[in-house]
Amino acid sequence: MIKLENINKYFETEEVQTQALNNINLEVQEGEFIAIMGPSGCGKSTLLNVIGLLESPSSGNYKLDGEEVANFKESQRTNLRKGNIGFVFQNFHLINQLTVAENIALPLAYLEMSKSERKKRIEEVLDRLKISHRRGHYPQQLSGGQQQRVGICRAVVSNPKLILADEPTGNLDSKNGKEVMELLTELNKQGATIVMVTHSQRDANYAHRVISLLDGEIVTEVENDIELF
Amino acid sequence: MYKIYLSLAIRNLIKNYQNTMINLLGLSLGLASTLFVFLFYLSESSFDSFYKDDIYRMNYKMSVSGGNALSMPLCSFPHGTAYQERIDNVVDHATVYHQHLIPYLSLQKESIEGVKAIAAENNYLHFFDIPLVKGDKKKVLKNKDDILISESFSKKYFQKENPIGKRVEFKNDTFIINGVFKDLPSNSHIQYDIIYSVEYLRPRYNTFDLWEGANIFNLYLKFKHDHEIPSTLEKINDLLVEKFSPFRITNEASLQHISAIHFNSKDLSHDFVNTRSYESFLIVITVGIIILSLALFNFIVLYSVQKDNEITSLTLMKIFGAHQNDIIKSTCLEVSLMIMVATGVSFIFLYFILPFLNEQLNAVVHIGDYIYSIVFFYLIIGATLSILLSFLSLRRVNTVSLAKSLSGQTQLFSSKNKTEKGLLLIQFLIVFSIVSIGVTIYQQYQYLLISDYGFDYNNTLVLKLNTKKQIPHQKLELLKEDINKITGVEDIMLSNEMIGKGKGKNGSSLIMVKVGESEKDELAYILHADDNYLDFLDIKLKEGNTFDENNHKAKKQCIVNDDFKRFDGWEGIGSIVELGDEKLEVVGIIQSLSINGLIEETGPILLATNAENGWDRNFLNIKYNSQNPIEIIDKVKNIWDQSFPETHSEILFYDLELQRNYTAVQGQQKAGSFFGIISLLIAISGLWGITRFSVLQRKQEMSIRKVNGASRLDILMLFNKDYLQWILLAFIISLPISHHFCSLWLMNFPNRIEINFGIWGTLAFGILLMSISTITMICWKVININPSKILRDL
Repeated sequence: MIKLENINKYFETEEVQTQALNNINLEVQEGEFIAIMGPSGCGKSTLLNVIGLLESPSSGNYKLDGEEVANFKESQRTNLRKGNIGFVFQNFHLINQLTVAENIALPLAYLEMSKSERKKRIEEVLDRLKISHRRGHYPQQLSGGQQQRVGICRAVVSNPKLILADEPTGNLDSKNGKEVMELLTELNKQGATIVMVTHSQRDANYAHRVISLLDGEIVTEVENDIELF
Repeated sequence: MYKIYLSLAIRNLIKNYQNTMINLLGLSLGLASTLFVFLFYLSESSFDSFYKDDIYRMNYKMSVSGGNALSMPLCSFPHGTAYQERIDNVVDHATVYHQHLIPYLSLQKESIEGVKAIAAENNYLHFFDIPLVKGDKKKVLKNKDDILISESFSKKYFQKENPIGKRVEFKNDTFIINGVFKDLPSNSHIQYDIIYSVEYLRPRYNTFDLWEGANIFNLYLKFKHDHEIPSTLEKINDLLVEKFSPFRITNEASLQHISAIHFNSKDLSHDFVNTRSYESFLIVITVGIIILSLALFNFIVLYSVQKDNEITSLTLMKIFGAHQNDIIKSTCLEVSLMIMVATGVSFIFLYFILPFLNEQLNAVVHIGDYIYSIVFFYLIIGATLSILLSFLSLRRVNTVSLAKSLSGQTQLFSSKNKTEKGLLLIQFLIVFSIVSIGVTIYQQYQYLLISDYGFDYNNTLVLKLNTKKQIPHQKLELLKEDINKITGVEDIMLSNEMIGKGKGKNGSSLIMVKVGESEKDELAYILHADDNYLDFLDIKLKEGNTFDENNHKAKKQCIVNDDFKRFDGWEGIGSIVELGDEKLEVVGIIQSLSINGLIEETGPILLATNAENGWDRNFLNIKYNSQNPIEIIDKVKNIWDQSFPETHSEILFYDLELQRNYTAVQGQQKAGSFFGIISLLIAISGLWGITRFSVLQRKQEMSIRKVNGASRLDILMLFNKDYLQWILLAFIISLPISHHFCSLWLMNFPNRIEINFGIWGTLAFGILLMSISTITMICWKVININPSKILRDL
């Protein structure tokens, strides 16, 4: 599904050039659950952003579903993300001025979808993640765990093939963290491909494969023995 | 989708209510002020533009061989008819007894004060194409008792009753209403509620039908061919040479297009219509543009700063599939929402301040006349702001990576960025300039109120002798005796003029004189002095003596001012001044006397005695030493009513009348203060908004400084210093700008103040204090938060 070949990413300031990704080669199969690990500043989030088409690589090839997307324009990348990629963030990134239901509806707003279909999808995902009773609340009225559930609802409501999660349990306690990881696992079992950045070895254990980065380079690639627990 | 955008917009505005309020306040004040200036521009620039035909007003520059000249838009009655008869290109004319105020008018037992009037011939309505709502155009204004009233006057005083045939009384005469004319547009240079027949005036002026007769008429002309106007003007001037030369007067005619009267008549004397100097018009327009720029610039920056805080929302929208159009739509909706609120607030604000501004600026802006223009104004401003801000928001989202936006690494205003400081500099530059100019206008106005006119007008009442016929000398003496008996009356004096009032308002007239052996004619103002004139008004003599006590001798004497010294033939005290057939000996020279007020220059003045059978007496001046002048006024009125029961008495306070000279200056001062306060409020709101966002963005820095030992005062000093140095710089830059404009404005006054930099400094200090309070207030809240909490949240 994802094929990265010799991906490099540089960040430049007036005086310094920093290489965030160094010759990354990575393949992710459809239905796979990948965890990316590594110390702070090693390029994990940058790699996730490149995969999620939030940033363009400085050089290299990126094939998504067989299509070369590395040099896509902003509008092409937006079209590709729309309905195909779901994002889960460490800081949840919910829009504080929108209710739970409205936040979840955000990705559907840009898909040409009937109002009834949108409503149906939102209800389904709310039920599935067991936060229907919170649909009218605002993010700041929810606990961290509940906010991340909403974040996941928003990521999955458009049934994307790919879910990208950037430290999804980073701001949660262990109980809520476990719940979130179980949710992601369940989504993976239902067919979603998941790429997750994490600092936590425990969370990484949920993945099929763990990739370790150091200074922008892949240093190890380990297959997990699944079944977990 | 739009529902989400709308919800987002409303909730964003509510969430940032402080910022929203500040931003809306600044924008609303700016829009209201600018809308007024926009309507003012439309109104002022459209004066007299509604006439189908090209109409010209005739102006004359009268001079005598000596070179003294007087320009005015007045002529005597026969001119118009003569031009039309003798010059082919003149196809029509209208001769109008100039616009004036009738102090009292009686209408069906009702007494109306201060009615604007003109007197005209029958062809007037046809010439200006003024429709009659009632009456027959062909028949009106032919008889001396014909009078027309305006539609609004009719509605006000007759309601649904038909006014035709009703009686109107003024000047102790009765007129019959035989027509109702449609109201004039408010942007007409000439305004009146009634038109009476010029035939009424004919028997009242002995020189009515003479070329050199009373200069009391405005003359308007229409021409067959516009391209022949220059040659026509030459023929008119030839005719004037033929008619005026025998009187040693050079009379040079010029034509002024009717649409140019409003802005281009400041050099004309005795112009009684509503005119404005083009310079003051430009000043108002400039102030409007400055305030609009200030408000819009402020709004854009504050909104952009606010959007910086919301960049995560916009980024998320993009991540989840929003295209550029969607971002534009979303921002547009939010901006439109704000503009709609600002539009409503500004319109209501304008509605309430409009009468004040109209009065102070002597403007005639009516909201009802400009509905489409107002809609256009708001649409243009709204569309410009919406498009500009939407693209700015989009640019922010497009120019930085989505990942960076999401992590909050993008800021429009970082502490290193000079944009916010630049904005502060511009804002406070404008504030200091407007406030400095405003305070100078105020000082000049105050100065005019207390300046020395060269005579004492305090504790003085003026009884206007409004009688149909000249009051006989003996009856006047009796009246004086009776009033003199009133307790509290100190002295009484009769005069023909009310000196100190503006040119054309004080009743003084220009006469031609010759001094000594010189054959050269000179122009001088003549004042008619009662026996006690100099003593009563405490006019000091610089040289010589007052009039001889012997009335017979005094009739051969005159007193002049210093300006006579530059006349040919002047030989000092004892010089002979030839005044028509009379020869008067100069017995004294008075000190400076501002008979035309302190705004207009005074020329040569000649005082002659107000002897028996001499001049008209228009005013009876009463000096009082009572704490209760109202009681004296009542008593004077009683005496007047007994002596002249058929005529209203009108009593004025001399000092209040002189203050009226400065209504325009006072209006400019009040309007200047108003616009100064508005710009100050906008600038302070901008300072508030920028400081607030900057402080929020520098929370981390403040916390780290506190952790490392900085006290609250240290942090307050740091932030205040950061902004105050820019505000001070603005003040320094504003000094030469304000000085330049104030000096230009003050040049209009022969009596003017020196610019006081001390007061400007004090004002600047006040504004700095306001700024310090604003910055401190905003910083205080953040300073008092536990730094560990801020650092943990970041």
